[in-house]
Amino acid sequence: MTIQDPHAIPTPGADVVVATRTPNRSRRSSLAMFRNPGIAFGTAITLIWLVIMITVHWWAPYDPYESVGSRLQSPNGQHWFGTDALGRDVFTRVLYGSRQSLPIAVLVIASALLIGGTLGALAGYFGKFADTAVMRLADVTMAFPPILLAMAVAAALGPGLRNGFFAMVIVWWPIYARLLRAQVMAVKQREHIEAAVTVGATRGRILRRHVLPLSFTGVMVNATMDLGQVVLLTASLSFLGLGAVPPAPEWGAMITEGAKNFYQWWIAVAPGLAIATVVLGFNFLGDGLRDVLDVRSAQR
Amino acid sequence: MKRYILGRLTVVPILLIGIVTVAFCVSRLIPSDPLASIVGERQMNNEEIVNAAKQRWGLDKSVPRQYVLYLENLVRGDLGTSFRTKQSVVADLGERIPATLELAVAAMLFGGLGGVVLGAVSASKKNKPADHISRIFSLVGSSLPVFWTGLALLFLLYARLGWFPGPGRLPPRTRPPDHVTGLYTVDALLAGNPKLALQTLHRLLLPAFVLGWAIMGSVSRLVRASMLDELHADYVRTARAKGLRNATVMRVHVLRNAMLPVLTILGFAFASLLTGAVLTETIFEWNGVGSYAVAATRSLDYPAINGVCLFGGLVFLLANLVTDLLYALADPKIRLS
Amino acid sequence: MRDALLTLKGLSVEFAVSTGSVHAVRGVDLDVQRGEVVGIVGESGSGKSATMLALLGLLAPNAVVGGSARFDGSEIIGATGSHLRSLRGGKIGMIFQDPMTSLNPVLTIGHQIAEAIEVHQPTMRPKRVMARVQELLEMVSIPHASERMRSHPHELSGGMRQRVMIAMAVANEPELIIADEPTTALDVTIQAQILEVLADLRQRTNTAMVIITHDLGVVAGVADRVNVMYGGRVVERGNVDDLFYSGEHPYTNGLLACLPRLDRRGQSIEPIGGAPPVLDVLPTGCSFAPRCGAAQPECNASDPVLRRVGATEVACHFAPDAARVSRKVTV
Repeated sequence: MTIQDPHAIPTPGADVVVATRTPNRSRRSSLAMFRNPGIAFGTAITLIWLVIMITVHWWAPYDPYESVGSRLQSPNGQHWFGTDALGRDVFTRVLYGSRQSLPIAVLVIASALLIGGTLGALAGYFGKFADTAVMRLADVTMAFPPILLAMAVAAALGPGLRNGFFAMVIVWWPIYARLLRAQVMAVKQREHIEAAVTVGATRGRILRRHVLPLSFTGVMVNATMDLGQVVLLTASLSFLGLGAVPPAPEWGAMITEGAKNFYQWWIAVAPGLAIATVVLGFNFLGDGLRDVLDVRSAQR
Repeated sequence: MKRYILGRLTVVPILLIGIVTVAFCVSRLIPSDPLASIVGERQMNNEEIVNAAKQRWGLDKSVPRQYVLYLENLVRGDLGTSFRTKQSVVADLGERIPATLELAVAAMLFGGLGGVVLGAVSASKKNKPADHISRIFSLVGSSLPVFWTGLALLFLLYARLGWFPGPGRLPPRTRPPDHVTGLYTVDALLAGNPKLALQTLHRLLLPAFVLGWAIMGSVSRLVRASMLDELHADYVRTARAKGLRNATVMRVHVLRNAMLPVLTILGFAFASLLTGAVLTETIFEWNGVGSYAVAATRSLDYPAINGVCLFGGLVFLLANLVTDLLYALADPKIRLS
Repeated sequence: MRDALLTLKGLSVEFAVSTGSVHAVRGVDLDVQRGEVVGIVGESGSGKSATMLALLGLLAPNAVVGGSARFDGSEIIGATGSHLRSLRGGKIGMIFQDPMTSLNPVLTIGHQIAEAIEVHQPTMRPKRVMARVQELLEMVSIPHASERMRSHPHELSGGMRQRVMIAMAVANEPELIIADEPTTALDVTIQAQILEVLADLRQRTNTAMVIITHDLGVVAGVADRVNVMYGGRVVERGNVDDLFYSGEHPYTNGLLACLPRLDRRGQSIEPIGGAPPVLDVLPTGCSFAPRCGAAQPECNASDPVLRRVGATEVACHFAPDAARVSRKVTV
């Protein structure tokens, strides 16, 4: 009875796909990623918005802060999305809005990743007291509903996108602390780490060389999706008057103006669509990345 | 099972103290001066009034002393008095929680049930049109800002088409039904007024849909992923080998197992609905905890902010506990140990 | 001769994968008479399980099944879903390998057996169904059957779970039971008990059985006839005794050499060198040739077909000479 038969039923389909995925994550497969419709669509939207953000001042039809026509015009040939209560061109303002939302989204996630990720990784690596302290603090922070916490912090610090940024970093750091901690704990169990320890590698080196590369995919999927969530939360705070202050062309704040002029529907339509496309783009991208990279979202 | 529940319960006090402390810190580390909002900008130069206000609201004491006072009052069930409404925060919250609860339950029916159904359809018809449509529908729902969806639906379905009533929990010039549960739909029925019950239900539909659609995405995504995971399990093959229909296999075997991880997210979804209804309540003029929170932050009413934060934390804790319990009941391995 | 209960003709299974296709089963002919026990023996990946799962349409969706399979006089390859469903669990009962994962963890075992009855006998009253479940559990010698019905799978031992699987398979008095590695996941002593349950069942009901296993020892005790599969084909078949005492195929002899035997105590157990073929590229010759001690150039040139040599049918160019070589030379 030496013939091993652990799986009597051959289902090559599942096995082969997994097998080809891991070894050659090379140039070929990173290009093949774009065959995933979610990734292709998400990348396209994100790129379009990035280009708009960078180049808008060269080609935008009007100045986003100046009154350029009569007030509350409905959409027409000159003003594709009409004008607002101060006679500003809604289309131009929406385009410029990308300069508010996108940089802040990236900054929030980068900061949360840096702060939360470092704390989480250290907690996971050293365990004991460091672990308890960091993770309890993360638990408590996560016990507050994000919007309430952000509102409370933003209100306390006063309005303005800079304070909104602090508020959102406070909301997001625990997520990355948990993520990185889980990754570190998982990686610590693996054999090649144990091998590295016995060879005498330092802790810092192990964290850098072994843990970080392995955490990369999980972090990437989460961060992509969270970028969209930050855009949403930024707009929400501004909508409530706790984020961007007028006359900044911020999408959430523009929707507030739209709500004030309820029957002039065009004022709110364009910024809403802008938020929706950006967030949808990030969500598609994240969803597609998760499918392709096969990351379990169990950490959340 | 007893040990499992006890294990879960021991975390509660630690989290509770943490939540109380964080809520306190957030509201006390405010650089802007809440006195201005209490006495009004113009009175800020009047030292007498300012001092009186400081004393009245306990702001003349040191921060640690304020914390101890706060804890003492908390134990007595006193969350302080709102600067804005001049009522006790507990009473304010008590008035508003039923409104939010009604909205959250209705939204949960849309989002939770809808999410499970969509996720199950997606998983059964993987990579077929039905899968793509339901995935896109839920992804769009979680990508749209709720305040915008709310506005758009109000504009279309109320202002233009007139199919739905406008914002607010009650028709204009209508008195609320006698207070029993605080849920207007239920109270109206209890008061023997089915017409009012229908009217309040009609007003509930739009905000509940808007709010529910936002959570549908995360629920359906998890249901789909979890069911697809289970689909490879050996017991699914056994079930098919018995001659069961595919739909029965999906419903009885796959979904039952796939729901275990979903329970957790449903619990959190409900908690986030109870507290995250901030924007929906603002748009639909829903007099619940969310709109109370907005008003409180706008006027730097920090006993109220504090109260709302505490409420949010408690809801989260409770949701956590309830999901753990449900999980234990649903998973025979825990239930019977 | 009576009509066979099950007749396979040229049955083939391919799995479509990203790199092309894997030929798991390549033209298998096989028949099972009523009341007969047939063993299918081979290594993992030899196509033995895929052959039987293909019958019931239980393979993964990327499987392409070809050839013919007649059960009880009607064709079942490409049959309608409802026809297949009436066979599954009805006329054909199936027992799977790992009773830990093959039972649904969140449902009671009573529920799972009852479900098998209800789907094929929808008019039966619930009370009657439960009585039948208890009867089935008693039949497979599960103590305290009436209480055990309310247990979940994880509360039972591996052997008990496998008994539940058997009870489930025979719930509707099938004409054929397919047991896929029924004892592999179990301890040796439990294996013997389960084999006894199966043998007992067969005596009582006279049901035909196909036992799929990698362990010739399992087949020796229960089967009437044995098919040895290698590389998606049947390489030798015959009555169980003939195969054991005068097997002709080098692979069969390799398998026999792997068995610990009381009459050859002191001799070492000899594993077969090399690994079974990966069937993504069809070999031109005999698929066992790379591992065969008696292989000749011709073996790589053409694929041998089954022919009668001595007491068994064997697919080997050099039978019976090859067997003599392979018995001396370590395979």
